[in-house]
Amino acid sequence: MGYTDITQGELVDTYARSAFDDTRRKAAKFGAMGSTIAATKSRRG
Amino acid sequence: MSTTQIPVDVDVLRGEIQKTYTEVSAEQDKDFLFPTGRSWADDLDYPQPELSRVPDATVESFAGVANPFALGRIPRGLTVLDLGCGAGTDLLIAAQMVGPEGRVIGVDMTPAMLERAGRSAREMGLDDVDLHESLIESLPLGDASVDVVISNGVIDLVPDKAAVFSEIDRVLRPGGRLQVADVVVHTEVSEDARKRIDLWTG
Repeated sequence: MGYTDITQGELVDTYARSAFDDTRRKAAKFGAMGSTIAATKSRRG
Repeated sequence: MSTTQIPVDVDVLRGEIQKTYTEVSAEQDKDFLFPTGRSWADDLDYPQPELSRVPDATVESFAGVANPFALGRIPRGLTVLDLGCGAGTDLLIAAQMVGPEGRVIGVDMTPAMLERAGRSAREMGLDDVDLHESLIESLPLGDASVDVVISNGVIDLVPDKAAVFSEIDRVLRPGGRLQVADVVVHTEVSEDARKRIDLWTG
């Protein structure tokens, strides 16, 4: 099964908005960020 | 059947996730490890006027990680599935985009969130909103039954991602679209870290 037109959106520094220092620190350690992705499923099935 | 190695006790993880998101539903003024609420959705440039029409009871429980609609609006008339719809912010925005000739289906494993989504849908007069209490690794939907799959900050919470993507592929019709927001990491996560429930839920 194939997917085409794969598009990734911008990265969002979601966890920099956390109220907790520890979460911000862990997110920075792993480079954890929000993002988006879209793809279209092949019509051939 | 998936053969993915699961590094955590899945039942314990699901229990912790349900506990966290029940709190997100019930305690909207509380600080969580992740940003929540209408101000966060505004900061992500969620689509207007659709966001403004979704009741606070839902949007103040918004806990998405990015804006899946930034990659495009959903055309009218389509059938949309929201994986892990939570209190319904993305689901009820999608419902407005597809209009009365379309259909939206929300799946979530946390009853408190589904109750909130259903109440907001009724308040908005949206009749074609189907809600299902279910795991997203085992969807209660037929093959090739939806046009668009959306999700926001949910697939990252599921250890068996292969099962999730297999289910997405099963229910999505040929030519259908996957349009999701989720967490990406830029550093390899160690085996020890993969076993820590707090890193999965936070």
